Amino acid sequence: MNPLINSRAMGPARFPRGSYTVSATGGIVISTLPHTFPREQMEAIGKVILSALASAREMGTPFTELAADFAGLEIRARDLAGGAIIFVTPQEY
Amino acid sequence: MPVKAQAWSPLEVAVPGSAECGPAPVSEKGDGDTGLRACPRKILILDDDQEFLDTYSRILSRLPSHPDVRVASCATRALALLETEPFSLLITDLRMPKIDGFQVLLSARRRFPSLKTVAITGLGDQQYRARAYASGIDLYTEKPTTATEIRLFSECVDALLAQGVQDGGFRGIQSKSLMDLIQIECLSQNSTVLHITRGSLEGRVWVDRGDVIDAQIQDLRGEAAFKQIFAWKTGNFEILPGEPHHPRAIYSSYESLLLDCAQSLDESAADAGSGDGTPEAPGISRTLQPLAGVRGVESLLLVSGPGKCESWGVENPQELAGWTHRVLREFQTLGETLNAGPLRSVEGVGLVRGVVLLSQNGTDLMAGMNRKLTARLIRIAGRELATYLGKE
Repeated sequence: MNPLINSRAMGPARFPRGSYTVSATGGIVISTLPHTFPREQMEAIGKVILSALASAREMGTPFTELAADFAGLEIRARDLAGGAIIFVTPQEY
Repeated sequence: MPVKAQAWSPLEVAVPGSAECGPAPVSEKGDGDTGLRACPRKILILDDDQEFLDTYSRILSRLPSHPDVRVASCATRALALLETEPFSLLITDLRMPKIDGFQVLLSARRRFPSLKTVAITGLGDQQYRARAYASGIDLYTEKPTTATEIRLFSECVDALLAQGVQDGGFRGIQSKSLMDLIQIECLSQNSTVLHITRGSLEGRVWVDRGDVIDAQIQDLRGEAAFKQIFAWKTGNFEILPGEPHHPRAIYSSYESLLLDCAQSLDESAADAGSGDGTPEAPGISRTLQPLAGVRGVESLLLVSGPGKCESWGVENPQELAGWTHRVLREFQTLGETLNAGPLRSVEGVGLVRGVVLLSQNGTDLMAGMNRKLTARLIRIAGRELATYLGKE
């Protein structure tokens, strides 16, 4: 990490690029994200994605793909029979 | 020889001699003008019994009109197909898990008034029959079991296909024009309420002892509402009991009212040149109008505060508003947890439809998108919607 850069002062956090899969129960199965990316954050993302996919199914409009566009991060997920594969991509400033 | 249901493109129609195409998918009537204009008659069969689907898709594909037969084993799939492809005829089983045939028929009748419908069931129940006919079906039949029954059923289906699509008409148990309906009620000196639907739009016309006394569509009342309903060329109707104490808002006689509406329609048709001339969504609010113009948008829900909800093309606005709110708040909370910056949009791509969710300055927006849009096009549409939302 470059000691001259204060990441907090730059606004949204910097995110790595990678993907991981979560099971239908929210457990992380496999990941290409670096170990520096906290597992808790991966689980938090997985929980919200699975919840959104499940509620959409209940509404009768199941999604095959779901994306959330934040200023500093894009999360894109594909439904995998109740679980999901989740792609994490930092936004380019 | 197995017969496979197949989708036909206009290009295939243009080259009927192609061995790949099999039987010409164009009806024998009506393709003489251009060879390209006529579409194959399309049948959708809905049943949770796969064996039935396989058998009848084979049988009906061999009808003299060579229809294109598609099948669906669940109601959701059937409704998705109906939304995306033009069908001439829907044949549905009535008893199915989750969403039954009656619900599908009602939904299909609301959304596709010109679609012919056949209810088919293994039960010979009179209540089922009455309920099915009350929902405005064209034919109710028990599942054929003998060769003769199959032949008769096939002939009925072919006859329904041959009827083609009528030029408008309001269908309840019968098919009538709105002009006919109102004249019948007024000449009979009836007191009724005509409940008329077209897609997600809903209108009412109050008739009291042979006089049209009021009409309503969304926030509009009186003559303005009557004229708007009258401009619909297709839809469904049901005749409800009269409401003798309903306040009067229309004072013209029904004859002058109908004449006035007919003249207005003629003038607007002349102004528009040719074509249908009916606005696709006459009930849409001014706020939602620019949003509805964004490419691919098929329905909208705007929630600007508790109880402040506007919608267009949405069947269950309250339920959808709750879902939109929950999903947006969950993602916003996630964004705060991750320090990912403000949430710009949530987008879903689905087999039934796509969705864009936006939240700006306390206003939540849900846009239902055409299911054929890719994730990238949904993202582009979402950004355009966000621009409009920011202007509100």
